[in-house]
Amino acid sequence: MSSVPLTATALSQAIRQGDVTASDVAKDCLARIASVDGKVSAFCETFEQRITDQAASLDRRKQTGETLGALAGVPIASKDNLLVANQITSAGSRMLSTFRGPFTATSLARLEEHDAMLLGRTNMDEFGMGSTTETSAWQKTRNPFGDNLVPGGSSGGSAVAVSADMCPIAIGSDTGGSVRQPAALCGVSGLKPTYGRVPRYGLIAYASSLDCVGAIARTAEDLALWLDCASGQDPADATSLPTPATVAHLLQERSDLKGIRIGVPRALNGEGIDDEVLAATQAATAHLQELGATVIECDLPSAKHAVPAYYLLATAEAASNLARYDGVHYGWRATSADSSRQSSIETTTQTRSEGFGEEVQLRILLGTFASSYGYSAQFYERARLARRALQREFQQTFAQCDVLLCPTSPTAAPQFGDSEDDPVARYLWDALTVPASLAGIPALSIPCGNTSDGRPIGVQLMAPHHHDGRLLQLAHVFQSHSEHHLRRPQL
Amino acid sequence: MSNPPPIDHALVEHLGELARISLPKERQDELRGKLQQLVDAFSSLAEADFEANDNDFGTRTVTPADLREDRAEAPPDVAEVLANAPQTAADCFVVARVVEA
Repeated sequence: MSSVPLTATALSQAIRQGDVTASDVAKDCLARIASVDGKVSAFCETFEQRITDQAASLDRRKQTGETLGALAGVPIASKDNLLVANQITSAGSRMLSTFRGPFTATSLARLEEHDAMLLGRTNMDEFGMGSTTETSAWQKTRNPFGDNLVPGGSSGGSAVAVSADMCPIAIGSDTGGSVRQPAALCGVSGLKPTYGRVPRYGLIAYASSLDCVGAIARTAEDLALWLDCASGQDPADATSLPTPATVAHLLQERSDLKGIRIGVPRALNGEGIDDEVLAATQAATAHLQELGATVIECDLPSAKHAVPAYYLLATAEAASNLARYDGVHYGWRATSADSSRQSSIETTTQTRSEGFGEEVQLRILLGTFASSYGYSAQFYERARLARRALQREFQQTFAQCDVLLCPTSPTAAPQFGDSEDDPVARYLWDALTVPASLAGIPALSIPCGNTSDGRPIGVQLMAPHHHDGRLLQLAHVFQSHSEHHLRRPQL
Repeated sequence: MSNPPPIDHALVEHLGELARISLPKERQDELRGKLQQLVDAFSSLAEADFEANDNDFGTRTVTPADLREDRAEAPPDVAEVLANAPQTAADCFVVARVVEA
């Protein structure tokens, strides 16, 4: 049997039951990548030897009668900003082109502890800064639903890897929508958990108060399986939350949505959203109603400040986080014709000027501006107040409803080159995903339809802190009664 | 309300110095334009009423985990620390000169 199209849940079960071996799964996965990745360029590298060895080890353990873990033999791809011991981890940047992980990120090590197999690293926007994966220093990742369509970003490679059936789960990171948006554009499901639920240790930092490790899969059921394995407190990450209760069992507890109140914030369901996207979102809302949910309109007035607040806070944090790339401790170091006469400051400046791409440089300058003397009160501090106001409004809104709903992205996947040169227009594209990031609440994107020319459309669900399970439960009921998540691209 | 601050060449150059990024003239022009567009758009925050009496400047809305015990641990191996350094010598990072001749 070919193991590749199976979900992670089905795959791990088949391996534990002995219906298929981990080695066959690894072989199938690598063969699928060899067959289709040339068309979409999702992977920067596959860990061929590592996964072959891991698979052989799992098969040996299975033969000796050992009970394998919940992710037994599931091949999982990881975004190029999560460290894997001894493997290159570049964050899509020339700055880290030769950097090898000194350890494996907690969020990935936990998956291996549950017997998952790390498959390879996927392409991304440089340091997570972008929404199309075009700012990667390495390659152009294509949306499997169209050669000329962007995959979204910044976890574009991870979304494409799942969409093109190269693996059932791919890990991403979500600072302002970087898991949810590419998932929506590539027709798969993507979860940004509650901030702190999955540890960040080993994730190359962009904006520390917003960064979340998330995952992309075809089904909510697989995301629940992943979340239960990856969640929990980590002594190496002071922002990680105490280990929460598991969520996968919740999915079996509901077959309808009776009693669930869905809030539809007007600010996130109207202006600036394409008609076809809005129509698909409304159809999904109607379907959820048919399944028993109650739908109520609500307000989220501070959502209009979310994009400025997000870009000022995220870039200020990025300017600080990326100060570590000085050409001394690790990564790229520029050399001049006469380096013996170059001062330390000159070396650092030349290194950063040559090592960082244009979008990263723009964001570092914006963040430096926003937090600098004379401007921080008008920009950085106002952005913090806007974030607080938005958090309060979310809290008040969740007193009236259980989840909030809106499109994940204002448009379906645009073509390469369509992305505006105007940075304000480009950043406004994130208007629907950054509110949940600023609030630190869990948010999930699931497929809900497609445009007349076949591009996937995603709907986003948001829940209060710690209620990630509620999102997955609702999405599972929706996916049990619809087929949007099963639609596959022709490759 | 206060007007958006003008982003001029001197400011862009200053930001480049602070961020340790050198900007050639043509790149400065491009970045000045983009930064001005962003600053103009983001100045809307100055007009908003965010309940001035809210003195909670924190952004954390979830309960932090307990911090781990503060105890000395064995330092990592020197070779491990230097493994990714672009240039090393005698178990040390090599840096450019920091004192003017």
